[in-house]
Order: sequence, then structure tokens, then C-alpha cells
Amino acid sequence: MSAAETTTVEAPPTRHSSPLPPPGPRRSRRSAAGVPWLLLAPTLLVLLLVLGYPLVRLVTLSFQHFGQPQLWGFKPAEWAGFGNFTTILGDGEFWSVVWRTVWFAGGAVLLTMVLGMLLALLLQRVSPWVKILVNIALVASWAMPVIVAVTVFKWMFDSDYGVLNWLLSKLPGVDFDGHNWFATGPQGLAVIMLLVVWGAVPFVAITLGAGLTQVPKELEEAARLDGAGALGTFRYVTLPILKPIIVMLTTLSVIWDMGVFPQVYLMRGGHPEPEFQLLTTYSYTKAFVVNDYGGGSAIALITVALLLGVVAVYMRQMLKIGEVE
Amino acid sequence: MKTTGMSKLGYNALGLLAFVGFGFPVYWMLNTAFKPAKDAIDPDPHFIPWPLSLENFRRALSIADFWGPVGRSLIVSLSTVGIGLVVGLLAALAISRFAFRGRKIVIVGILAVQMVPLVAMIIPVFLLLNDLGQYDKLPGLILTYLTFILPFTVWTLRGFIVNIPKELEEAAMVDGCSRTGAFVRVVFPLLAPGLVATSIYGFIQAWNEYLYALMLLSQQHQTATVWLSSFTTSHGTEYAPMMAGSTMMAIPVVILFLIVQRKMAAGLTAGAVKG
Amino acid sequence: MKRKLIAAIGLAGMVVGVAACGSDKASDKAESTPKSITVWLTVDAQNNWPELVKQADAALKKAHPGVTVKHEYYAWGDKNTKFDAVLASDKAPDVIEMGNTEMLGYEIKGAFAELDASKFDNSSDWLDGLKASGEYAGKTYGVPYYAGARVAAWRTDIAKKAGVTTTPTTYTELTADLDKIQAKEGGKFSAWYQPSRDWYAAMSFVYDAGGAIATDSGGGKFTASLSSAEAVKGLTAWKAAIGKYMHGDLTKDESDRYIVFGQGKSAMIYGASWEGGAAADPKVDKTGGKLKTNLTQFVFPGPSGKNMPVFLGGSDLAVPVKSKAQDLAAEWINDFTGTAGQKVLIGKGNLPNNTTQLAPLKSVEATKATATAAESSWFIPAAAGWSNVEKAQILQDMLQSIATGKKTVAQAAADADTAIDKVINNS
Repeated sequence: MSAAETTTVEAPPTRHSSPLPPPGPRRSRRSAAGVPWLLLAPTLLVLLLVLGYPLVRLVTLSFQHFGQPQLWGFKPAEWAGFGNFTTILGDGEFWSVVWRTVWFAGGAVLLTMVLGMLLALLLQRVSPWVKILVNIALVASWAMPVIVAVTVFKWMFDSDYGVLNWLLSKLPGVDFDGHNWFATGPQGLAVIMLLVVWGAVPFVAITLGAGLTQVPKELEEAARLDGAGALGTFRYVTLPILKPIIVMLTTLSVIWDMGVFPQVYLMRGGHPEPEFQLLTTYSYTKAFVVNDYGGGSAIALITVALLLGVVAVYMRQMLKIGEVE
Repeated sequence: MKTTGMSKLGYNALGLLAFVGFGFPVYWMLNTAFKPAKDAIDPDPHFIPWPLSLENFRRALSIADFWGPVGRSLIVSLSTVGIGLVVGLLAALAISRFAFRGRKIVIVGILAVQMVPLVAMIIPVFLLLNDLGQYDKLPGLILTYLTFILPFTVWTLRGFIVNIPKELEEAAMVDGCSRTGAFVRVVFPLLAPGLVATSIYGFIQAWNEYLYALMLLSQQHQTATVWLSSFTTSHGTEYAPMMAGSTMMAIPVVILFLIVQRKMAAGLTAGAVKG
Repeated sequence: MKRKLIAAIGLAGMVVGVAACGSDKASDKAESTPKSITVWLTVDAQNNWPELVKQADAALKKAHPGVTVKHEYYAWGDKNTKFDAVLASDKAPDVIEMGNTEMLGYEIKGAFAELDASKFDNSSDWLDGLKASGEYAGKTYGVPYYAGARVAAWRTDIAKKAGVTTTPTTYTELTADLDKIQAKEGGKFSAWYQPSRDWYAAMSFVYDAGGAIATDSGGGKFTASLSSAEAVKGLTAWKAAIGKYMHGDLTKDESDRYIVFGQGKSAMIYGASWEGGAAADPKVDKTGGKLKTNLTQFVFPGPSGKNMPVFLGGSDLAVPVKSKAQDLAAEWINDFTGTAGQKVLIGKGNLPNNTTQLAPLKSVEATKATATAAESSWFIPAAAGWSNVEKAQILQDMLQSIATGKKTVAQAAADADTAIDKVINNS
């Protein structure tokens, strides 16, 4: 596949179709080049207008010492060079937090995508009334404001009065009365991951469900006629067709799950213990809480760099998708 | 739909399991909202709200004006979604169907923009909008929300668009449609499920957004999510009315979903997709 | 894409700081008869005493016909986030409510306008603990709004069951009584429900033993002193009590305390005076009404033999320096927190801001304990960087690690001192 910059007009041999001669009237190449920018214009305008200047400031600030007095105009900003960056990157705690975040996000994304896919497939196969029920549950949970969701989860897992401990204690031989789910890091993070996945799956399930409608039934039936089992059909027919959407969703999930904040922060009542610190809460306590805006900006930029790095693996894949040859 | 292996009953059972699993926290919220306030936090939990009580709803509505914020949230969310879909779709088309110089940069840029922690931008954005005279004005907030929704919308729609073979449009044009006509008649209906998913997402994002709504609007013009925070004072949080409040807030979203979810099924005119 | 939300979230966010287009400071009081003032209060006022707000508004309008008062109510977590941002712009309010521990950080940075204390009711009688928060470098920047003192709330019925018929007056009596109750009720019961992260209670032990969180080392600088012998003594006593009587979730702070008390799982709590009443509220009470009839309050005795010094919590009202209606703002503040205003606040269960109105409360049964307790108080060190210590939750983390056994008292105190020293003098 050649690079996206080419503008030849024949259709490439994609998996969907047989080559077709270029049909109908085609616009000249010159005016065709202008069209995409025209379509992009409104989006780019909005983004540049609202984010352009703040983004520039973000970068500038990361190289300054900037606190409340500077914000209010009582003192001028001081140049800090790379000071903010070296402080952060040199902090051992920072790297353990990064590592923990990567593991947490990885687990969350995996669970989300798998559960989402399974749900989407399941929804294709249930009776309509069940489908509506499940969809309502998904949308309702998706629609809950995060703070409400965290509050409810917090109650459910509370060690003094949580319903989960109560339910578990009802099992024969099990006494969970007073059990503290957040006594250790792994257990507590598992609970938080559950919360994050619970909130993330609806979107993935519904979007994949939408994507599944794009899978031609004829292809699936043909595969079955050829002897493929359910798993085979899924692997060789459904999955390839869904691939662009899956890649999109995974990328977004990675970005979101690495940026998870309120679930951790609120679940620990505003003071996540060291074993619960993720990149977002860490940067929050280290920078924002003490009104160190310069440091906070630096962390934000480092976060973006990290995310770009993590996602870079897929970059080539993503850029190739839908290339016009 | 043909099911191989598991019977319909089996699938339905799984479906109900999913319903319970995902719905439990929601059910708990509803349970708390309809129970008398004293049962909100109970070491001996009651699973059925009995006696049914509307007292929490009354308290929620009386603490601070509810209908104003809800109305504003509706306006903001619907506008954001409406504009976002149109603008986002155009952009998604641009990067999916056209090859042009700078395409890669645009794609990476749209992705990168989503990586910036929004928390980090709040004060610059506030000061910028204030300078533009948009503090405490709904259009300012809508504009800001568009910057969150657009990259995501463009990104997701792109995934759907590339799945629709160009050959379909080309076939339609061979049959005499103009390019736009081909798009409207052939591609658009196939995109419907994707548009629905994106619009629900956009609506929920805008509806539940808190930080920017707090900073960019004064309390007189607050949105529903900020309204929800008035239940927490230094004397603790009134959980039961808060659950009632969030129940009320969830209703428009569920209604919206029920309205548009048929369009998802409409995408099953997949008969158009012939090899 | 989960966004951050309320309560504990105090974002300070990022900044543009349009490098101050020539900021004007206090000189910008140009008041060509301003027509309106904007008042920012916390949701407490909105939910609990809206009538006082109306009363103050009416008083101001009577004195200045044609003036309007705009109100905005914010949750504690949000208020300063937004305030930081608007103070950089032209949208700063004219009056803002600040927690008394929040004041210093802002005073040092020059965020507030200087006020003339003599213009406010009872200013010569303001409670020491409150006055301190509103003053800096000899000038007044904040007016005390209301206060609250911590007292012990006691279940007389549970005590009676264990053979205790009177409330304790000394610490020895207290521990003896708690021992009896704990033995009677068993392992899962908390004779004294004391969450570890409630640093107000723990620090009371420290001050009672003669220690302090940090001491003035001269030149306006402070040094952390939690490792001093006295402080360690206090912390050890605290740890012993928690070990014996606290069997609930050790990692929590005080926000759920009244709920747990309402569920009847504890015989005593040491907290704000309204907590006992809140636990007895039918909305929270799960003991079937027992709390209402069997609750009594008393002043918490300190191990030293004197009353335990309490943390005097409360709020102040200040006028941001960029306000264009400072005189009007000051007047409104007086209408709100003056003698008449204090009467309303007292009625809602708060302590007044001055000793004149506090004295009679000592003879009223319902307020006796809290009014007496208020007379012996401690306050946070008047250090430039104190807000950093609070925001980083250094004390809470220290206490939790002691209570859960993760660190010894000495180790935890030493670590906390190091952490505090790093930030306590930064502004």
C-alpha cells in the first residue's frame, strides 16, 4: 500500500471488492485538493480557536515558575528552563506511578474491549425484549454522572456499611463483615478497575453493535455454508470487518483509561494512598493542589508524550486505514 | 438470526445476567432515591424501596432551582451534539475519502488533542473565553464542549466510514447520482448506527460534564451537573436527595436513547452491501 | 473520558495568567456608587440559613436604595478553584466565604483587601481562634463568620448497659468507661468511633500534651515539630485509644462519622456539635429513635487533666482585592455577621464569633459543652505555606499509617516533619 500522499484514483484491491473502472465524471485534481480542506474547515476552526491559544500557553507555562501570584498579576512569571521537567522526570515515585498506570490501563482496556465485544455479539442473538432491557441498563449506567457512579460504588464496597460485604457474608462460611476492600493496593485497584470498566463497556458495546450491523449477513452465511464454526466465522469474517472500529475504540480506550481520574480520586475520598496513585492523581496532587501551574503544565505535556508513545505502535496501522490510493 | 450451539434461552439468560450486572449500581441509585432518606445508608440493606417515598425528589427540587439548570443542560447538550455531528461528519469524510497533503498530520493532530488532560486547560480556556466576552454565556460553553466532542466524533466516524466501500458510491454514481446524492442515498443510511452511537456519546459527555460548566458559567446559569453538587455541605452530603436528583438527570438521556435506538436497527438495510 | 467532579476536588488547574496587564491592586477602589455587589458563599448558607442571607440583603438595600446583591453558592471543593481563576479576570466577587484555614494562603499572596476592623460589630470580642485567621502582618483581611467546637457525643443507654451512669470528667474516667463499654459490646463494636484521618482530633492530643504541629523559628518561618517528645506523647496516647476502641474502617476521615454513629455501631464520637444531632435525625438514625433520647454531650477531657484543646473550625468573609465595591461589600458583611446575624447562626447550631454572645451559651444545656470547649482552642501555624500542608494531606497520611500499623509513631512523625518542612514556608 502506498503512502497516503498519493492521489491516484484507481481503487486498490481491498478485501471487499473486485476492481472497478473509475466510473462517472471526476473532478479535476486541482479542485479536488481543495474539497477536503473545506470539509475540515469548521472542525479545525473550532479546535484552533478554543484550544489553540491555551495549548500554546500550556507549553510556555511548562517552562516557567508560575503560581497564584503570577496568575493574579501580582508578580511576573519566572523563567525555569527545563527545571520543571527535570524535577518530575527525576522523581522515582513518578516512574512507579507511570508503570502502575500502564498496567491499570492495560487491564482496563483489555477487559473493556473483550466484554464489549461479547456483549455486542450477545445482543445480536437475544430476543428483542431482552435486547431492550440490556440496552437500557447499558445506557442508564453510561449516563450516570461519574460522581454518582463513584458514590454508589463507594457505598457498595464500603467496609462499614457496604451492601457487597453484606451479600458476600450471606454465603455459607464466608464472613466479609467489615472487610476493607482498599486495605491493599491490588484489591483496591481491582475494585476501581471494575468501576472504570463498568462505565466504559456500554459505549464500546453499543458502538461495536453498530459496527456489527455493517457486517454483511451474506458473508457470514457463506462462511457457515463452507463449514466454518461460530468461532471461525467470527475470526475470519466478522473480526476483519470490524477491525477499523476496534482499532479506533482501543486507541480511545487507551487514552481514556490512562487518563482516569475521578474514579480513583473520589473513591479514596480525595486522598489516594501511594499504592493507588495513577498518573492523573499524582500530577494533580504534585502540581495542581499546590498551585504550581508551571509544574502542572509540564506534567500534562509529559503525559501527552507518554500517550503518543504508547499509541505510536498503532499509528502506522491507523494511518493506513482508509487510505485513498 | 441463526444461532448455532446455544439456544435462544441460553442467550437470553446471559442477556439477563448482563442486565443485572450492569444495572445493579443503577438499580441501587433508584432504590435509594425512592426509599425514605433514612434507609439510604443501611447496614441491613433493603432491596425493595418500601415504603415508596417521593420525599427525596421533593427535597431535591426544593434545595435549588432544578428546571432552569436542566433546561440549560438540554440546550447545551443538544446543540453540542447537533453541531458536532454535522461538523464532525464533514471532517471525518475529509480524512477518510480524500487523499491530500497534510492528511497524516491532521489525523495525528486530532488524536493528540484528545490526549491533553482537560484539567490542565481549564484556566487558559476560562481566561480566553472571558476575553472573548463569552463568560457566563451558553454559546461559550457549547463551543468548549465542541472541542471535546469533535476529535472523538471525527475519530469514531472515520472508523465507520472506511468500512463502507467506495464502490458503493461509485456504483450509485454510475446509476446517475451526483456525488452528494450518492452519499445521501447510499453511505448515510449505512452510517446511521455509527452516527447514533456517536451522538449518544456526545450527548452524555456534554450532559454530565462538570468542571468546565462550573468554571464558565455563573451559579445563576448553572447546568444540571453543577446543580447536583449543592447537596454536599460541610455538614455532610444528603445522599438520598442526591440520588433522586441524579435519577431525574438520567431520564432525558434514557429517553434520547430510546428514541434513536431504532435508527440503529435501521442500519440493517445491509442489503445494499453486495460484493 | 471521565471528567473530574465535585466534593473533594479542588482543582487549581492550569493557567494563562495573561501576564497581568498591569494589575491594579487595592488602589482600584474607584467607587462611583456601584449598583450591585456579588457575594460568594458556600452551599451551607444556601441549604441551611437562607433566611439570614435575605435578612442581610434587606439591611443593605435599606441603607442603600437601588443596590442589588447577587449571590452565588459553591461547594467547598469548587469554590477556590473558581476563585483562583476569576481573580485573574475582571469577574472577581465582592465578598467571598473562606474556611478559616484557607485564609492565610490567600492573605499572604495579597488576594484580599484590607478591612477596618472597627467597622464590624463585636470586633473587639472576636474569638481568638477566629481572629487569628483573619489577620496577617498586623492588618485585618477577614471577618469571622461562625465557628464550631468539637465535643464528645455519648450514648447514655449503651453506657448504662455497661454499668456507666455518669459522663466522665477526666481522661482516666473516660478510658475506664470506654473499657467497660467495649468489653460489654464485643469486638466489632467501636466504643469510640474515631476515624484515623480526622486530624483535628489527633492534633488535639498533641496540643494537649504540650506539643505543636510546627513552631515559629523566627523571621516568619516555621519548623515542623511533630517529632518532639510532647507531640509523640500525644500521638502515642491517641494511637492507644484508637487501638482499643476503634473497630471501624481505619482509612476513613470524618465525613461519614455521623452516619456510622447513627447506625448505632458506636457509643461515642468526638466531633462537631451538630454531628450528634445529625446522627439522631430520623433520616440517618437506624437505632429506632434511641439516639434522640439517649444522647448527651460533654467536653472532652484531655490526658493532661485539663479540657482537651479543640480546633475551632469556622469560616471568615473577605473582600477580594480586585473588588470594585469594597465599602459596600464590607457593609454587607457586617449586616450578615453582626450581632443580629449571629443570633440566627446560633439558632442553627453554630457558635458565634464573639465572646459576648458566646458566654450565655455556656449556661444553656444544649450548647453548654460546645461553648465551654470553645474556650480552650488551638489553631494552625500561621505559616505562609500551611495550605500546602493541608492540600497534600501530610497529617492525614501520617495518622493513617500510625493507626493501621504501617509505621511506628516515631517514624511516621519524623516522615511527616520532613514532608511538612519542605512546603510549610513556601508561598
